[in-house]
Amino acid sequence: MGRPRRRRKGLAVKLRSIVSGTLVIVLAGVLGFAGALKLRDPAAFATDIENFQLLPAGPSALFAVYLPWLELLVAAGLLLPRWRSSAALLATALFAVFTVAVAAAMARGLDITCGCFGHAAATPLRWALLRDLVLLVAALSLLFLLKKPHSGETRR
Amino acid sequence: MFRRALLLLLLALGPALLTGWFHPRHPDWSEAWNPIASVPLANLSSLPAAPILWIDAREPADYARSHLPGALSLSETTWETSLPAVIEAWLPEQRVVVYCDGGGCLASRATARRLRRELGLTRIVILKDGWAALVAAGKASP
Repeated sequence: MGRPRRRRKGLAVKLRSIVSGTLVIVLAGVLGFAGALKLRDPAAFATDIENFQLLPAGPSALFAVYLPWLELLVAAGLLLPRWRSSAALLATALFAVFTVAVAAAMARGLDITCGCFGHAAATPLRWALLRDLVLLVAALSLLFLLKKPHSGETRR
Repeated sequence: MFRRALLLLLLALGPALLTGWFHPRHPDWSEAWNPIASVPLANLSSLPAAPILWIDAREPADYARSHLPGALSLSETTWETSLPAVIEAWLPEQRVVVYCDGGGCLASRATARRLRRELGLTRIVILKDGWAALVAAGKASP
Protein backbone atom coordinates (compact mmCIF):
# COMPACT_ATOMS: atom_id res chain seq x y z
CA MET A 1 0.00 0.00 0.00
CA GLY A 2 2.79 2.43 0.96
CA ARG A 3 4.99 1.94 -2.09
CA PRO A 4 2.48 2.98 -4.85
CA ARG A 5 1.58 6.06 -2.81
CA ARG A 6 5.26 7.00 -2.45
CA ARG A 7 5.70 6.46 -6.19
CA ARG A 8 2.71 8.73 -6.94
CA LYS A 9 4.17 11.37 -4.66
CA GLY A 10 7.53 11.04 -6.35
CA LEU A 11 5.88 11.46 -9.75
CA ALA A 12 3.97 14.52 -8.54
CA VAL A 13 7.19 16.11 -7.25
CA LYS A 14 8.95 15.37 -10.53
CA LEU A 15 6.05 16.76 -12.55
CA ARG A 16 5.98 19.87 -10.39
CA SER A 17 9.68 20.50 -10.92
CA ILE A 18 9.34 19.94 -14.69
CA VAL A 19 6.42 22.38 -14.93
CA SER A 20 8.08 25.03 -12.77
CA GLY A 21 11.37 24.61 -14.67
CA THR A 22 9.57 25.08 -17.98
CA LEU A 23 7.72 28.14 -16.68
CA VAL A 24 11.00 29.64 -15.41
CA ILE A 25 12.67 29.18 -18.80
CA VAL A 26 9.70 30.59 -20.76
CA LEU A 27 9.17 33.59 -18.48
CA ALA A 28 12.87 34.41 -18.15
CA GLY A 29 13.26 34.08 -21.93
CA VAL A 30 10.30 36.35 -22.71
CA LEU A 31 11.27 39.01 -20.16
CA GLY A 32 14.96 38.93 -21.10
CA PHE A 33 14.16 39.17 -24.82
CA ALA A 34 11.59 41.96 -24.31
CA GLY A 35 13.94 43.95 -22.05
CA ALA A 36 16.87 43.67 -24.45
CA LEU A 37 14.77 44.75 -27.45
CA LYS A 38 13.34 47.75 -25.58
CA LEU A 39 16.83 48.83 -24.55
CA ARG A 40 17.85 49.22 -28.19
CA ASP A 41 15.69 52.33 -28.56
CA PRO A 42 14.40 53.85 -25.29
CA ALA A 43 13.22 57.02 -27.07
CA ALA A 44 10.91 55.02 -29.33
CA PHE A 45 9.73 52.94 -26.37
CA ALA A 46 8.88 56.18 -24.51
CA THR A 47 6.62 57.12 -27.42
CA ASP A 48 5.04 53.65 -27.30
CA ILE A 49 4.25 54.09 -23.60
CA GLU A 50 2.92 57.61 -24.15
CA ASN A 51 0.65 56.33 -26.93
CA PHE A 52 -1.29 54.34 -24.32
CA GLN A 53 -2.40 57.75 -22.95
CA LEU A 54 -2.20 56.50 -19.37
CA LEU A 55 0.85 58.56 -18.38
CA PRO A 56 2.10 62.01 -19.38
CA ALA A 57 5.25 62.33 -21.50
CA GLY A 58 7.67 62.77 -18.57
CA PRO A 59 6.76 59.65 -16.58
CA SER A 60 6.51 57.71 -19.87
CA ALA A 61 10.14 58.60 -20.62
CA LEU A 62 11.20 57.56 -17.11
CA PHE A 63 9.44 54.21 -17.48
CA ALA A 64 11.05 53.75 -20.89
CA VAL A 65 14.53 53.70 -19.35
CA TYR A 66 13.51 51.83 -16.17
CA LEU A 67 11.23 49.05 -17.40
CA PRO A 68 13.72 47.27 -19.74
CA TRP A 69 16.25 46.95 -16.90
CA LEU A 70 13.58 45.70 -14.50
CA GLU A 71 12.57 43.07 -17.06
CA LEU A 72 16.20 41.99 -17.48
CA LEU A 73 16.74 41.79 -13.71
CA VAL A 74 13.52 39.83 -13.21
CA ALA A 75 14.62 37.45 -15.98
CA ALA A 76 17.99 36.98 -14.25
CA GLY A 77 16.27 36.58 -10.87
CA LEU A 78 14.07 33.80 -12.23
CA LEU A 79 17.19 31.85 -13.18
CA LEU A 80 18.70 32.14 -9.69
CA PRO A 81 17.05 29.75 -7.19
CA ARG A 82 17.36 32.08 -4.18
CA TRP A 83 15.79 34.97 -6.08
CA ARG A 84 13.19 32.95 -7.98
CA SER A 85 10.14 33.57 -5.75
CA SER A 86 10.76 37.33 -5.64
CA ALA A 87 11.32 37.46 -9.39
CA ALA A 88 8.12 35.42 -9.97
CA LEU A 89 6.21 37.90 -7.82
CA LEU A 90 7.55 40.83 -9.87
CA ALA A 91 6.90 38.98 -13.14
CA THR A 92 3.28 38.47 -12.07
CA ALA A 93 2.97 42.17 -11.23
CA LEU A 94 4.56 43.18 -14.55
CA PHE A 95 2.27 41.00 -16.66
CA ALA A 96 -0.77 42.17 -14.66
CA VAL A 97 0.14 45.80 -15.42
CA PHE A 98 0.78 45.03 -19.10
CA THR A 99 -2.57 43.21 -19.38
CA VAL A 100 -4.49 46.08 -17.79
CA ALA A 101 -2.72 48.68 -19.97
CA VAL A 102 -3.43 46.80 -23.20
CA ALA A 103 -7.06 46.12 -22.19
CA ALA A 104 -7.54 49.81 -21.34
CA ALA A 105 -6.12 50.85 -24.73
CA MET A 106 -8.45 48.40 -26.51
CA ALA A 107 -11.45 49.62 -24.51
CA ARG A 108 -10.73 53.21 -25.59
CA GLY A 109 -10.32 52.18 -29.24
CA LEU A 110 -6.71 53.37 -29.50
CA ASP A 111 -5.04 52.44 -32.76
CA ILE A 112 -1.58 51.71 -31.37
CA THR A 113 0.98 48.93 -31.16
CA CYS A 114 1.88 47.64 -27.72
CA GLY A 115 5.66 48.11 -27.89
CA CYS A 116 5.97 44.94 -25.81
CA PHE A 117 9.00 43.76 -27.78
CA GLY A 118 10.38 47.13 -28.76
CA HIS A 119 9.15 49.74 -31.16
CA ALA A 120 9.69 47.70 -34.33
CA ALA A 121 7.42 44.81 -33.30
CA ALA A 122 3.99 45.96 -34.45
CA THR A 123 1.85 43.40 -32.63
CA PRO A 124 -1.89 44.18 -32.84
CA LEU A 125 -3.39 44.88 -29.41
CA ARG A 126 -5.71 41.86 -29.36
CA TRP A 127 -2.76 39.49 -29.82
CA ALA A 128 -0.76 41.40 -27.23
CA LEU A 129 -3.66 41.06 -24.78
CA LEU A 130 -3.91 37.32 -25.39
CA ARG A 131 -0.15 36.89 -24.97
CA ASP A 132 -0.07 38.98 -21.78
CA LEU A 133 -2.95 36.97 -20.31
CA VAL A 134 -1.16 33.69 -21.05
CA LEU A 135 2.06 35.02 -19.51
CA LEU A 136 0.16 36.35 -16.48
CA VAL A 137 -1.34 32.90 -15.90
CA ALA A 138 2.12 31.34 -16.35
CA ALA A 139 3.70 33.75 -13.82
CA LEU A 140 0.87 33.17 -11.34
CA SER A 141 1.23 29.40 -11.73
CA LEU A 142 4.97 29.63 -11.09
CA LEU A 143 4.37 31.76 -8.01
CA PHE A 144 1.87 29.17 -6.76
CA LEU A 145 4.22 26.25 -7.45
CA LEU A 146 7.12 27.99 -5.69
CA LYS A 147 5.06 28.95 -2.65
CA LYS A 148 3.30 25.65 -2.07
CA PRO A 149 5.54 23.14 -0.27
CA HIS A 150 6.08 19.82 -2.02
CA SER A 151 3.48 17.28 -1.00
CA GLY A 152 6.31 14.85 -0.25
CA GLU A 153 7.71 17.14 2.44
CA THR A 154 6.67 16.61 6.01
CA ARG A 155 6.33 19.45 8.45
CA ARG A 156 7.72 18.89 11.92
CA MET B 1 10.44 37.26 -0.82
CA PHE B 2 9.15 40.85 -0.63
CA ARG B 3 12.53 42.19 0.52
CA ARG B 4 14.29 40.65 -2.47
CA ALA B 5 11.54 41.91 -4.80
CA LEU B 6 12.08 45.41 -3.46
CA LEU B 7 15.82 45.00 -3.94
CA LEU B 8 15.27 44.05 -7.60
CA LEU B 9 13.09 47.13 -8.05
CA LEU B 10 15.85 49.31 -6.59
CA LEU B 11 18.65 47.57 -8.50
CA ALA B 12 17.01 48.51 -11.81
CA LEU B 13 17.30 52.21 -10.95
CA GLY B 14 21.09 52.37 -11.39
CA PRO B 15 21.35 51.15 -14.99
CA ALA B 16 18.11 53.02 -15.81
CA LEU B 17 19.75 56.30 -14.77
CA LEU B 18 22.80 55.54 -16.89
CA THR B 19 20.56 54.64 -19.84
CA GLY B 20 18.61 57.87 -19.49
CA TRP B 21 21.84 59.83 -19.45
CA PHE B 22 24.23 58.07 -21.81
CA HIS B 23 22.23 55.90 -24.22
CA PRO B 24 22.55 57.29 -27.76
CA ARG B 25 18.77 56.83 -28.19
CA HIS B 26 17.70 58.13 -24.77
CA PRO B 27 14.37 60.00 -24.53
CA ASP B 28 14.41 63.74 -25.16
CA TRP B 29 14.00 64.95 -21.58
CA SER B 30 13.35 68.59 -22.41
CA GLU B 31 10.48 67.50 -24.66
CA ALA B 32 9.23 64.93 -22.14
CA TRP B 33 8.91 67.52 -19.36
CA ASN B 34 7.52 70.21 -21.66
CA PRO B 35 4.72 68.43 -23.51
CA ILE B 36 2.58 70.11 -26.14
CA ALA B 37 -0.84 71.02 -24.73
CA SER B 38 -4.00 69.39 -26.01
CA VAL B 39 -6.67 72.08 -26.14
CA PRO B 40 -10.45 71.61 -26.60
CA LEU B 41 -12.04 73.49 -29.50
CA ALA B 42 -14.18 75.57 -27.11
CA ASN B 43 -11.06 76.92 -25.40
CA LEU B 44 -9.51 77.87 -28.73
CA SER B 45 -12.56 79.93 -29.64
CA SER B 46 -12.39 81.82 -26.34
CA LEU B 47 -8.72 82.74 -26.70
CA PRO B 48 -7.78 86.35 -27.54
CA ALA B 49 -8.41 86.94 -31.20
CA ALA B 50 -5.00 85.74 -32.30
CA PRO B 51 -4.95 84.31 -35.78
CA ILE B 52 -4.58 80.56 -36.01
CA LEU B 53 -2.69 78.50 -38.54
CA TRP B 54 -4.47 75.17 -38.75
CA ILE B 55 -2.43 72.10 -39.65
CA ASP B 56 -4.18 68.93 -40.81
CA ALA B 57 -1.96 66.00 -39.77
CA ARG B 58 -4.20 63.32 -41.28
CA GLU B 59 -3.21 61.35 -44.36
CA PRO B 60 -3.28 63.37 -47.63
CA ALA B 61 -6.21 61.30 -48.94
CA ASP B 62 -8.32 62.28 -45.91
CA TYR B 63 -7.29 65.91 -46.35
CA ALA B 64 -8.26 65.77 -50.04
CA ARG B 65 -11.68 64.35 -49.14
CA SER B 66 -12.49 67.06 -46.65
CA HIS B 67 -10.66 69.45 -44.34
CA LEU B 68 -11.14 72.54 -42.23
CA PRO B 69 -11.27 75.56 -44.55
CA GLY B 70 -7.86 77.23 -44.54
CA ALA B 71 -6.03 74.28 -42.96
CA LEU B 72 -2.78 73.11 -44.52
CA SER B 73 -1.91 69.46 -44.90
CA LEU B 74 1.26 68.27 -43.16
CA SER B 75 1.78 64.63 -42.30
CA GLU B 76 4.80 62.42 -41.73
CA THR B 77 4.41 60.88 -45.18
CA THR B 78 4.41 64.21 -47.05
CA TRP B 79 6.64 66.18 -44.68
CA GLU B 80 9.32 67.24 -47.17
CA THR B 81 6.88 68.34 -49.88
CA SER B 82 4.31 70.03 -47.61
CA LEU B 83 6.59 71.83 -45.16
CA PRO B 84 7.58 74.73 -47.48
CA ALA B 85 3.91 75.74 -47.84
CA VAL B 86 3.51 75.73 -44.05
CA ILE B 87 6.61 77.88 -43.57
CA GLU B 88 5.37 80.30 -46.21
CA ALA B 89 1.91 80.60 -44.65
CA TRP B 90 3.04 80.90 -41.03
CA LEU B 91 3.22 84.36 -39.43
CA PRO B 92 5.15 84.89 -36.15
CA GLU B 93 2.08 86.15 -34.26
CA GLN B 94 0.06 83.09 -35.23
CA ARG B 95 -0.83 80.24 -32.93
CA VAL B 96 -0.43 76.86 -34.65
CA VAL B 97 -3.12 74.25 -34.00
CA VAL B 98 -2.59 70.70 -35.24
CA TYR B 99 -5.44 68.21 -35.60
CA CYS B 100 -5.78 64.64 -36.75
CA ASP B 101 -8.48 62.03 -36.75
CA GLY B 102 -9.86 61.92 -33.21
CA GLY B 103 -9.07 61.18 -29.59
CA GLY B 104 -6.98 58.11 -30.32
CA CYS B 105 -5.05 59.72 -33.16
CA LEU B 106 -1.32 60.10 -32.62
CA ALA B 107 -0.32 61.94 -35.81
CA SER B 108 -1.13 65.42 -34.48
CA ARG B 109 1.23 64.96 -31.53
CA ALA B 110 4.04 63.65 -33.75
CA THR B 111 3.55 66.50 -36.25
CA ALA B 112 3.38 69.17 -33.55
CA ARG B 113 6.53 67.85 -31.89
CA ARG B 114 8.40 67.77 -35.16
CA LEU B 115 7.26 71.33 -36.00
CA ARG B 116 8.41 72.54 -32.60
CA ARG B 117 11.72 70.72 -32.89
CA GLU B 118 12.54 71.64 -36.49
CA LEU B 119 11.06 75.15 -36.73
CA GLY B 120 11.33 76.16 -33.09
CA LEU B 121 7.62 77.01 -32.85
CA THR B 122 6.56 77.74 -29.29
CA ARG B 123 2.91 78.75 -29.79
CA ILE B 124 1.78 75.33 -30.93
CA VAL B 125 -1.02 73.15 -29.51
CA ILE B 126 -2.95 70.03 -30.43
CA LEU B 127 -6.71 70.09 -30.95
CA LYS B 128 -8.34 67.74 -28.43
CA ASP B 129 -10.53 65.14 -30.17
CA GLY B 130 -9.25 66.47 -33.51
CA TRP B 131 -11.33 66.06 -36.63
CA ALA B 132 -14.31 64.66 -34.69
CA ALA B 133 -14.51 67.87 -32.64
CA LEU B 134 -14.39 70.05 -35.77
CA VAL B 135 -17.15 68.04 -37.44
CA ALA B 136 -19.29 68.01 -34.29
CA ALA B 137 -18.96 71.79 -34.02
CA GLY B 138 -19.97 72.21 -37.66
CA LYS B 139 -16.62 73.76 -38.60
CA ALA B 140 -15.94 71.05 -41.17
CA SER B 141 -18.07 68.67 -43.17
CA PRO B 142 -17.41 64.94 -42.72
